[in-house]
Amino acid sequence: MKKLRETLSYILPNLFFVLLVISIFLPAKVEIENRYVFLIVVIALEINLLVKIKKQSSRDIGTVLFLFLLVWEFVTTKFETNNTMLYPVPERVFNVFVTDAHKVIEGIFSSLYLLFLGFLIALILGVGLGLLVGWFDRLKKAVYPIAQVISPIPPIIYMPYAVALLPSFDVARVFVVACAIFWPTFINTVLSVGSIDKKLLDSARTLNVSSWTLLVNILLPYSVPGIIHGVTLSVGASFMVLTGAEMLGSTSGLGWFVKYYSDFSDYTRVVSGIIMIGIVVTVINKGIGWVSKKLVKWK
Amino acid sequence: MDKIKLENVYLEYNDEGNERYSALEDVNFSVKEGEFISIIGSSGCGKSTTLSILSGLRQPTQGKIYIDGEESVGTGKNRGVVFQHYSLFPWMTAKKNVSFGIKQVNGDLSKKEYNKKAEEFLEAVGLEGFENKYPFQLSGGMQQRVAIARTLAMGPEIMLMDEPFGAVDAKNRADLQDMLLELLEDQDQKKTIVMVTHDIDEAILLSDRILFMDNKKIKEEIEVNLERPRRRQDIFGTDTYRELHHKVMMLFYSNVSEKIGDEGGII
Ligand SMILES: Nc1ncnc2c1ncn2[C@@H]1O[C@H](COP(=O)(O)OP(=O)(O)OP(=O)(O)O)[C@@H](O)[C@H]1O
Ligand SMILES: [Mg+2]
Repeated sequence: MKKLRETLSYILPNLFFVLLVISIFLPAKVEIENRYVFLIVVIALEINLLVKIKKQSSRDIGTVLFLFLLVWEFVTTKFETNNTMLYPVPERVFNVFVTDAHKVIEGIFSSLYLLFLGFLIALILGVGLGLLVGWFDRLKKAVYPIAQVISPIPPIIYMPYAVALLPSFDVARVFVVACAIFWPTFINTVLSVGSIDKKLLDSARTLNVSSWTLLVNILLPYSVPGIIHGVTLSVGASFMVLTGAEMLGSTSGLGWFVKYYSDFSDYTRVVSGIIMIGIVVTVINKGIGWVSKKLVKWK
Repeated sequence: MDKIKLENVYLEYNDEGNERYSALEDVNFSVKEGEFISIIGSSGCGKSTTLSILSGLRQPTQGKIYIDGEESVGTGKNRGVVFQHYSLFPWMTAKKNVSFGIKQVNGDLSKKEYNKKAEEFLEAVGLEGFENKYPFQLSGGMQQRVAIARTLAMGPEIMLMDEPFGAVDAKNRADLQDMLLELLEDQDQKKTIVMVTHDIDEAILLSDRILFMDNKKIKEEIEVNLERPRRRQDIFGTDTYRELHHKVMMLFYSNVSEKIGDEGGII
């Protein structure tokens, strides 16, 4: 029984893959300009699956993914009755990455640039202020309750006001992104500093470290895991805020891409944009995971 | 002149919200330069508290502490501490922990010199090959050795050690004691050492004088008149050794019977 299930978990994802490829080549009832981009993506996924086939979770993910793509492909292309505007065809969705490559790449870079600036500002301020506020008890007692009131406010709500106050839309966007990352970073830093073992502090005191050394060489490294934890949690939120912020007065960016084509009811491009956002967020998360592994070798 | 002198020291713990708790009452003792003294006594009698006052981590509520004849307030570079519980920084490798310590007393060396010195001291405590391990990758005994290396590398005149081998098994413990004996004889300038321990053998083997502490006070001082350099196999089994051991044991027992006697009186 267990053996059977195991064998099945190897067969299913590959079976769905084969069916999907067959389905792609079966005559479609709707117009398809270029089926090869989609095909390449599907093959790339299959190669990735075969590389990680030993992992049960990879096989399961493959099964779900290929089944989903198979149903999507089959249902949207094999019936004349399908309204391709409302229910976009996967071949066309993925073809957008080729036909609109310029806009997509520009969008990614414009979004990443704003995100990067927002991150940088938020991390410097969040960690710096977090260390100070976390260390000075009196400051903490004054500031932390206030932070708890302000931090849950969704930063996107500041956008219209930020646009009015700040010199440009882009500055306003960086501001709201920075807000989204600042609060979790700040709060996690304060909490980390507060949770440091008294023994470590005593140890530092008997080494006669200066205040600066204490902050930079003791409290900061001790807080790094907590800070990274906070950042990981807020990447999604920051992207959400950014894409939201791009829907206002923008001419580029992934959020703008989705919003712009929504206005034309071009849902094929809308779905492409959404997939792209998913990919970018995943890559960023992987990047943070990688940095975290490099920085925190001591746990 | 005495290297360290405690004069009528009282300490009350007064942690936020808690009741005041008197942990030391009228503690008096002094330590000569180059002397090794052990503080021994039952759990909770105030040994760690005494050491925290010597290190400057806590201020006495009453009384004074003198170092080199001058009143001492707060921590200082002339004192190095090895804590009862591992006190390495978990995000630094063994080598980094040691070189970080050196850096705090010796700010003007190059990075290479820090590393070289750190490696030397790690080697001295038998940790060659473990320089780049993080504390979580080291056993308790190894971590304690790194802590000792760090303190030695900083070259303080006074070393304060709180049960440095407390959480170490018998074999490792003996090795560490031997290592300490050897290292101390190597030093050109003899260090003044105050060590807290629960182990009578350890106290006799290592120290010049044993302070017996009980109920917030120093109750008894015992000279250890054994010649140096000492080696355990030469000492254990001698009459002097047996006498000393008996003397300290009796202190523990007489205190226990005293306490039982007290309670009997209440009933
Ligand atoms: N931070 C503190 N706040 C309040 N009371 C404390 C504190 N630290 C220690 N004490 C109390 O002071 C007394 C002496 O503690 P201390 O740690 O000096 O004992 P010790 O002799 O080192 O014991 P052990 O051998 O178990 O380490 C104990 O009764 C303890 O409960
Ligand atoms: Mg203790």
